[in-house]
Amino acid sequence: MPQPSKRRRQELAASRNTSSKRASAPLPDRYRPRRVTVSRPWWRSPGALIGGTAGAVIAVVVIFIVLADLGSSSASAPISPLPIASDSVVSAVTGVTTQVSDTVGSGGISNPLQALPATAAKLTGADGNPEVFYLGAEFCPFCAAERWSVVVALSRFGTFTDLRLLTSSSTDNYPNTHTFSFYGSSYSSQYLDFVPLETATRTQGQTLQTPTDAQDVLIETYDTSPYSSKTGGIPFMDFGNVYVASGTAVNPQYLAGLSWQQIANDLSDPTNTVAQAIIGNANYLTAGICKLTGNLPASVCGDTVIAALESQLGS
Amino acid sequence: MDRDAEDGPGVPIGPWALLVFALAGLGLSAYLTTVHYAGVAPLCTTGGFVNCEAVTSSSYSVVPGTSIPVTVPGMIWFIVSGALAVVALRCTLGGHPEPRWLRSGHAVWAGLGMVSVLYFIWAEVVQLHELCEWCTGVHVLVFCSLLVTVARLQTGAPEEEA
Repeated sequence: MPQPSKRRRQELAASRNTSSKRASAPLPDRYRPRRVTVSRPWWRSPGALIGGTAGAVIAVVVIFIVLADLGSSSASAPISPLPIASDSVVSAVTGVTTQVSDTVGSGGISNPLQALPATAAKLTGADGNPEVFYLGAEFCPFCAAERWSVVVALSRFGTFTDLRLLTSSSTDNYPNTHTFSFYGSSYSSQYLDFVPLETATRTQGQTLQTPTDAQDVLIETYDTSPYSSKTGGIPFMDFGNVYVASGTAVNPQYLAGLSWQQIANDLSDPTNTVAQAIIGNANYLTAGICKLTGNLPASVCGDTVIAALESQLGS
Repeated sequence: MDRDAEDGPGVPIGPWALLVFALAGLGLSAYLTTVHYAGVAPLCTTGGFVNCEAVTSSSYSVVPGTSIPVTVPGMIWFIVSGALAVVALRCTLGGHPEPRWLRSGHAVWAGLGMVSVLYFIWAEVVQLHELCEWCTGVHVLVFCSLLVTVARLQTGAPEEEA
């Protein structure tokens, strides 16, 4: 059997002599555990996830801005739509209680309706119902005040949807009067048709809607002397060619500095000046509409206060 | 004592930042909720692109199908976020390891909040064409909370570190 070489025997002997000290003896460099630095992929670096998250959020916001810009520059949408009013605002306006309405009565305002000659051809809507025509403009502060009453009154006969939040012009009288725009809204009723026309945006001179030929004739015939101090004056309302209302009985000054919600909330207090003006005017408008609808619905037109105001209207 | 890996020695910046964001957001949300129910306009710019009154009176200001202002869920979001931050702080300052679920849970919560914020930004920018500065403040706070939770998520919970 071959013997290990002399060098190998010396190594084995040295190994036996030192085996008891091996645990504490330093290992040769090549056996010593080393900290190996493995570079993380870039997407796992500390800033990558944060930066990626921030970037993703910012990218989505930028997309929204681009979408908004594309929408406003689209030919099919020349005018940016106004915000739709919240239910809390709309319900407070359309839900004026009979008790509050009766307490307000005329609200101390004079009859805003003027009777047209009985010979005037009755104005009817597309489905044959009596038509209530409204002419106004979004910049107009008097229209702003009138719309509150219009919404209160018409809500007794039907339902508005998508009423838009609007403030009148910031550069006209009674600047920034809070109101609704009828542009973009809709109204449905089994008793009447409501045809609103907002001729200009909040920026005076910027056309929004253009009257039809028939509406032009109506305006030239009844939105003029002796029914109106100015031909084509706004606001103007025609109630089936039975009554017209030129201007507003609601002083926009009452609404100065009030938000939509504040005005809406005020309508629940019959002692409030805002409520008296808006609801008082609305009660007259309601009485005029009752004349058109043959006093329907009875739940509205049969009310003693509305009936009393109706009896005051000329015929 | 355990510390956030991103915080450096001594100061758990992440949980503190999340708590501050939550308190600030809670304050903003509470203010907007208060003015909503009080029926008064918030103190802000009106007219033009920045018009918080138009935004807070719009149909997007309430939870769909209800009359509850969206600031109420906003308050709840900040309360939960603040509570999670407090849990993290208690663990850190008490020398306990954070529960395994805490960082990931907070990140998910922040992600949900950010999705909601993106919806509201879409409503403001695309639908309403109006911006509400108070709401934007809330949005920024949720965004900052998301970034901090992501940072904490990436550094890993202290108990998981060798």
